Order: sequence, then C-alpha cells, then structure tokens
Amino acid sequence: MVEIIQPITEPASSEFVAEFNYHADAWEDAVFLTMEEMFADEDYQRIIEMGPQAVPLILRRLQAQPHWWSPALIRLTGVDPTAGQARGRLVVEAKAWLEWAEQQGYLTGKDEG
Amino acid sequence: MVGMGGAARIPDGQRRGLNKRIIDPNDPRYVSVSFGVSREYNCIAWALGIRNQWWEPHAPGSILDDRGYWPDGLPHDRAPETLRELFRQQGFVDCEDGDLDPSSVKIALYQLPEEDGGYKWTHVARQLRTGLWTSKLGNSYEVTHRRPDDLDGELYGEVYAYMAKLRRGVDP
Repeated sequence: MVEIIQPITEPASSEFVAEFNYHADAWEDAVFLTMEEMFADEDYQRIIEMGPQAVPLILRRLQAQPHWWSPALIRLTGVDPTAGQARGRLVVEAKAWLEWAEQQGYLTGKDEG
Repeated sequence: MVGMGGAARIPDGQRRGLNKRIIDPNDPRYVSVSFGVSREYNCIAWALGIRNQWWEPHAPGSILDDRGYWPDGLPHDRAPETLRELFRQQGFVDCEDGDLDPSSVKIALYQLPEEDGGYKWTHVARQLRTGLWTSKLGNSYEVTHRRPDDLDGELYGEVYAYMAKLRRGVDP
C-alpha cells in the first residue's frame, strides 16, 4: 500500500533548479565503485538536504534515464514504492518510482529540470 | 556557475566520487576500456554474466537497505571469505591460479588491507574464453585486461583467490 502524500506542484525557483542541476549533474557524472560511495557522495547528500522540493526534479531525471535515486527519494518522500521488488534491479526500481509519481500527480506540470 | 543559490561548490579534489580517469585508457595492460557503460550492474554481477542487477551487501536500516541485491544467508559484510562463499553458492570452487583452462570459467577475487590489520574484498574479474580478463569497475567502466594483476594497486589491492566453474557453451 503506497502512502498518499501531497505532491509538490509549486514550481521551484530558478536558483533552486540551478543548484539541484549542479549537484545532480556532478553526481550522475561521477565514477563510484560501490553503492555505499554513491549514496555517501556530497552532491547526493546535498540534494537530500534540499528537501521535498527536489522530488519533482529527481523524478524528471529518473524519467529521462534510470539512476540510483531511490535512497534520496525515500528520504525525501517517506515512502518506498520499490520495497521488496527491485532486489538490485535499477530498471525495476525506476519503474516503481515513476508509477508512484504518476499516482501522486507528479510529472504532470511543466518540465522544470 | 550562475544561479547556484548560495550552494558551496565542492572542489573536484574533495569529491567522494572518483575522477573519471581512475584508470588510464592508454595503459598497455588494458586491451580495451569502455567508459559510460550501464550503471545497472557492478563487478560481482558482471563476473556472473548478469547485466541488469547490482550485487552489494547492505546494512539493514541503512540508506543502502534493500537497494543492491545480496543473496539470502550471506553476511552483509566485506570479509574476503564472504565473497568467496557467494561464488561458491554460484557453483564456483577454489582453484590454484588464473591460467587459461578452456573447460573452466575462472574468476579472480581482490582484497585491500584495512587499518585494523584485516582485509576487505574489493573486486572480482572474470576470465574470457580468449584468456583475457574482463572487469566492471563500479558504475561506469568496463575493462578488458591481460592479467588479473593488471588491476593491482590502491584501488583494488591484490588478488587473494582464484575460483573456477565448468564453462558452458554460452559463456564468453
């Protein structure tokens, strides 16, 4: 059962989007040997610190190309639509998040990312 | 950088993510180096011929919890024996060396020393039918190298075990 939370529909400021993109680009571009390193990365942690307003931006990236955004999304939304399903499969994980995003009303506004 | 919203820019040298050039693609030890390959799988999965799953232990309750796949019953740790046990469960047995045996798929397991005097597993490479070795390096690189010890160094340490299983017709 997926918890219903209020989607963030208010557009983020251009400064917020620029900061998000800076950290997201850096993280997506980096080489990590382990997931442990991937999620401890400063850019990844900074995105989590940016708060729930980053969620639509992450979902847009996930829609464009699967990446290991799940831990950040779990921290930012308090839900885990992938629980027990993915077992290390990125595509399964991304699909679960995008289905959740659809149910929650994300991904329907203009592209901010 | 315009419009950073006050974020502190992290100098490249202080990032935890490694620089893209963790290896030199022109190094003669490497037969081929592919960058930007799928981020869906890591070295363990690749050693098993799996391209859609990331195998990594994770402490329950941590940010890693349930992200990477780890076989039931195996300790969630980086003890070298744990990795060896993982491959035993997948049908591999210990063997003497990485010399080419046409009837076997061989793998090389790597470890790094830790501050407490112990070791942690770091990597696994798989031998191809040609005798060359293939390695997936984290989320980005796929490397074909001539010998297992071509990857020895600060990143992965050194080989601590060789294992083998019967080569099937479909194994590359």
